[in-house]
Amino acid sequence: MSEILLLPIVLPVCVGLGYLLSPETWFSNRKRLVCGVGAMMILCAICSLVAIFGTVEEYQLFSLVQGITLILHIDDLGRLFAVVTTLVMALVLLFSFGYMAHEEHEKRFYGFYFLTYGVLMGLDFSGNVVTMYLFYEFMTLVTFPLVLHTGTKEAIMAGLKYLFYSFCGAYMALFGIYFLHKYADITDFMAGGSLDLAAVLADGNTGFMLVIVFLLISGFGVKAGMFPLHAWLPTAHPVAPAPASALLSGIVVKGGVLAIIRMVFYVVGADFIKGTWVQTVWLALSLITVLMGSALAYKERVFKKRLAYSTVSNLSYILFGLALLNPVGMTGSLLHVIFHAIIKSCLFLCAGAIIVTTGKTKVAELSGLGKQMPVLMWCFTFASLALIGIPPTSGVVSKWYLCIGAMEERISVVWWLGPVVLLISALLTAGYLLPVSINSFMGEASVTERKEPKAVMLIPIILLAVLTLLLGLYPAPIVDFISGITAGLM
Amino acid sequence: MFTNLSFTISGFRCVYGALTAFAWLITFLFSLDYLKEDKKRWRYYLFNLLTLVATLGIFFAADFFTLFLFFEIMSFTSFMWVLHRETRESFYAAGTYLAIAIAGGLSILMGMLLVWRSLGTLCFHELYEKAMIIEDKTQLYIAACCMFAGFGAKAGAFPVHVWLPMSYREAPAPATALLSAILSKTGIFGLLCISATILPMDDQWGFFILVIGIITMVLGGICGLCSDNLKTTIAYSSMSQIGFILVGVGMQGLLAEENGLAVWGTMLHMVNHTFVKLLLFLLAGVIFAKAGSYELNHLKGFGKRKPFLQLCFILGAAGVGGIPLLNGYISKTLLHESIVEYQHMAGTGKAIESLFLFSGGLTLSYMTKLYVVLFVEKNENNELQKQYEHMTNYVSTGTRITLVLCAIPVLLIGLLPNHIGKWIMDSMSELMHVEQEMEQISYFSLTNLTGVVISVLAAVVMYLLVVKGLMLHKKEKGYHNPIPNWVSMEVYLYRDVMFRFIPFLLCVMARVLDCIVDSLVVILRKTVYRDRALPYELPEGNLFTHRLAQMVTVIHKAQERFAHKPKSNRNYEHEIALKNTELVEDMKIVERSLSFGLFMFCLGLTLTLIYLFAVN
Repeated sequence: MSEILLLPIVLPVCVGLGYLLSPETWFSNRKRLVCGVGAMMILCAICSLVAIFGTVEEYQLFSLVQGITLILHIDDLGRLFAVVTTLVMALVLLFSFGYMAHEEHEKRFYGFYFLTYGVLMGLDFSGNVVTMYLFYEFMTLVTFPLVLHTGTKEAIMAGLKYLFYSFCGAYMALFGIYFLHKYADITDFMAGGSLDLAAVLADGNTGFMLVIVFLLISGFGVKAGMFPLHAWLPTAHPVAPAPASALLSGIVVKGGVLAIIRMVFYVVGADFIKGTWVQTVWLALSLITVLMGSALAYKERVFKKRLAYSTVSNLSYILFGLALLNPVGMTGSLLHVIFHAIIKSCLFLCAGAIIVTTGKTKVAELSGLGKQMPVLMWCFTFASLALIGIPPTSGVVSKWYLCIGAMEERISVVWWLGPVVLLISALLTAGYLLPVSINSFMGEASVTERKEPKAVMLIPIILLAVLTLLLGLYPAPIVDFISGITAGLM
Repeated sequence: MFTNLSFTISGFRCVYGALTAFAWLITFLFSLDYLKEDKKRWRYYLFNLLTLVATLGIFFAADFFTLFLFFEIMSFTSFMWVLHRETRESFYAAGTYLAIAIAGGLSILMGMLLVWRSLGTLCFHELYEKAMIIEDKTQLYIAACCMFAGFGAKAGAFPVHVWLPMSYREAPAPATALLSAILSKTGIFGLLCISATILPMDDQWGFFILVIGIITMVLGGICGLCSDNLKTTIAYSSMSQIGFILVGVGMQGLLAEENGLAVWGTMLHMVNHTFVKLLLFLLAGVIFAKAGSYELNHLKGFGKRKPFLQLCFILGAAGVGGIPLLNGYISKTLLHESIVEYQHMAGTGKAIESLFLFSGGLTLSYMTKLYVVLFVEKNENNELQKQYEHMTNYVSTGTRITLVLCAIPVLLIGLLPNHIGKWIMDSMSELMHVEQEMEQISYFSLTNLTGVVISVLAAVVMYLLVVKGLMLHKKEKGYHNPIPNWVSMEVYLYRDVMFRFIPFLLCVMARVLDCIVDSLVVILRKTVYRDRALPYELPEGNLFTHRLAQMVTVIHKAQERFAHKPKSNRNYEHEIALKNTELVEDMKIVERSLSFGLFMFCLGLTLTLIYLFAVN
């Protein structure tokens, strides 16, 4: 029965391939396509949940070469990411039933959507570095068509940019993995890391290994939008269809975060880089990104691009928490992974619903929209408040832990500079999100007649917005769960 | 450490919880009448109730985190009050209100984190015990200053008061009454919590608050005196009274163990201010509902033949002005005595005392200004004056009752200071861990009355000087604000620096960082990886041939025009690019040819020989 771990990966991949390979004429009736896709998604989600909450922990796929096997292994961290992935993917799919009606090649989109789902599940369940790297590369490949879905010249250029940056990062990481192979066990993840410190010291390779670890972090950090290789994010998000941007920003970029967590805390070990220049540079880069992302979002006029810059900034909140290398900071990071996935997909879906219903893409055009679609804009407002971190929404919980984690650190300036940067960024977040909702409710409206987006688009948005609020009111179970994960790592 | 909200109840919290409930009830009754015609009243009521919840949450909080949480909720829900009218001005005011509230909130969060770091808890009673024994207070000072930015902003303390006059003016009258009567006290409550828990009886913190308090008190008084708008005057009066309260808070720190007088004075002045401002802002609402404006020139003579209005106004104005037998006198006397006590400890006491009395004079003088305008002078417009005088049914019975309910405590506290006043002060002062017993204070002794006389003299001088001298124009009739518009901190300091200049700097830096890798890629494609054309690259040739072709074309056109040459459509760009390609290819052939190789060989040989000669 241990094959059940394979199911959430293989099933969506098969479904996705089926949709991609079947001829277009089979799905001339849109209703049939949508119903089929919906049913398949429910099936896949059930499979994933069975695997996530099941008792099976490990499954060995096959050996690539002697000694290197592909292993699926499920632990609490994987469960966390898998649940978030399943939740967001299901809701975004529901939204895309409404959104994709206005786009061409709907079947192809769903095909790649299922492929992405399968690959992401594989990434969450991977049990060693090789498996993870494999799924990581696949993830880039299957999300690439989602980015250039519209097929305009702009979209293709953006897609290529995404591919270029991602591969660049992946190769940096691969380079690191080659060298890591000598001292660490890359065939298994071990909480606390498996780096043989004594051997590294004996060979006098400490300095070199630090460089390798840095390469790993910045390589996987490309997906997580860490400065200086973040530029693909604001290019790729606005051109992709809204469900795809929600997916990218909510889930796919978290793949980079997961990879970094796995490498740093499960392979290298936090102790090795604690207090070294790698930690310092990592902290500095993430803080720079936090501030840079927020400042650029503040000045950005295109709505989706503004949200994309906000993603850049928020992902670095997560990276900052990880870079602190202490349990509290990491708890904050993992909390922010969940909250940001929910909040940002909600925001992107709002942007998508606005584009589909009114065709407006610029921030300035959104004035008075709240009179036209009050429910949507209230959801947007709640998600915005959560992203800023206004209690009692969820964002404040993760920020609190991040700040407390930073305060615990004894690194010279980080203990106060970190929180200050996070708070300034929160202020900028308020500056780039709240005027949108205030103007939409209070500004002059060109159309005052009520016209909400279709229910199929509105429902996922409402659910996500309610979730941001609920998680802020009752964060205790999640916090306990995450504290359990982080306590064992350091 | 995060998920538990904790609440507690004690004397101070009881009194302010009750006052909050009272104020909400009163303003609700008032707004039934006031907002009868307003289409958006349900939205107002909704946010009103939400704010009530948040406010009670603040007063009953037992730790800083709960306090912060409800403080933020309150800021956001009360934001809708300011925005209520949805005009351009209210937009502007609400924007400032929200910006300051958010920045203040984040600043409080930072302060809380610092407290957490140095004391390891946020719970009030644990904080007090830990703070008493801590050695190095530097971090706590920074934390307290951070929190001051947030709490002080809500209270309306200098220099974070900029939102206050505008927001008070834009909110509907019952909301303004609440903003001034209760919401400003939440800010004070926050500051008191700092004084009571993390910096108990600390003279440096006390001095800081004292300085802030004095500036707020004097500045508020002067701005109030110069204002030509009824509501703005009362708004600045609110700010000035907050200054008085802050002086009391500062004195609590400076007087350390002997701070009984300061604590009692502060507490009583808070309560007094709540009642008086409820009364005055509701009165302003009554006037606005009938006259349709807050402009003093328009309101001149409004109160003629309106004895009820006049009585209420006198009670409010004299109450806040510190006239004996009314409530303000009691609390101001206590504060005054605490300053006198401080004189025995430090030399600066004298200066503080005179500024305190001077501000008391300012309070009286701007209230006199309002009184004269409303009830003594006649409107220039005779018809309007007639209209005002025949307006007998200007206030409904319900509103009358609410106003009376606000006015009664003003009298009661003033007349029975040793009973009701003492009871209030006794129950409230537990918050500050006062150890002194409260003795009978002779409020009406000669020394205390002298203070009033000085204040009244100052008031007369200031009234004559500012109102008669500066505000009443000779040419244009009526009152005019002598302070020019450009002396507004709001516009220059906050809006421009905070919203424009700093984000601009940040963005320039961010843009540079953002472009680093992208420009690197572009440079690489222009130099090393030349295989694909960039979107803006030329179809053929290079930049040099392109420019050359342009020049030749221009010359040719000129020749056609002026030298009457026959027309020809030769494509110079193409020709020159071809020439260029030929040239490049020729060069390549030369490069690859044998003779070139021989030539290079010779060159190399020569160089080798020279090298050999040079070495040997």
